[in-house]
Amino acid sequence: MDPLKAAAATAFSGLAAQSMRLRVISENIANAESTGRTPGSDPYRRKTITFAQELDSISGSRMVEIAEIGVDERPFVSAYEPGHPAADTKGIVKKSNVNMIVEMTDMRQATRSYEANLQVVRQGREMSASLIDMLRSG
Amino acid sequence: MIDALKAGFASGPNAFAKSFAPVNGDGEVNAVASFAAELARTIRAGETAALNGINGEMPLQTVVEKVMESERALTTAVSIRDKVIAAYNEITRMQI
Repeated sequence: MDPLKAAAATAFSGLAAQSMRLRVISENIANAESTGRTPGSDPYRRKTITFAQELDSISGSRMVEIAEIGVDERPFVSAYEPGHPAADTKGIVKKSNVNMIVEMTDMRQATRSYEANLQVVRQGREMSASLIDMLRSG
Repeated sequence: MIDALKAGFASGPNAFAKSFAPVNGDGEVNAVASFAAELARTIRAGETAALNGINGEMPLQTVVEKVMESERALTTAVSIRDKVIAAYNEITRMQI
């Protein structure tokens, strides 16, 4: 298989992986304030995403794939809110373990990684275009 | 194709004619046909991807990848075709 084509395919797998990462981050941010509905119930638990390499059988290059979408096992944050529907007998509500600063940093990293993969696609396209141009003018 | 032209010119008119004749049913014509078939397959994949992209059934990355692939295949094919036609034109302009 053409190496430039394989490089583009690998970069596209990176784009897909980073898109999935952004989806997980968006779920975390949207649910940062989600609590349980019944007294003492658990709130939203932060989701994590991990990547792994995957050998593509057609091109033989190593693509990236989603290894697992797991959950963050860190403890929940407790807050004293006696009027809340999810408050237990002592008035403690369990709040989700999403940290906004961590999510924002993660989002920025996802964006940078996405841009890097896009740049690979752009570069490969430029290289093959100038190669085909030789056929025209030369 | 270009190689065939070059080899044909190098080894005289008879060899030139032979270089274009199908050899045991697997000559230049078949090679061009299989190339065209492969090209048509790639372009069709690009078109299907574009349609799926409009319907929102396929990830945008896959759509862009397939469409770009078919675009590249098409420009390559057109360039090769132009080159071949230029070679034929060159032959027709030959002095007799």
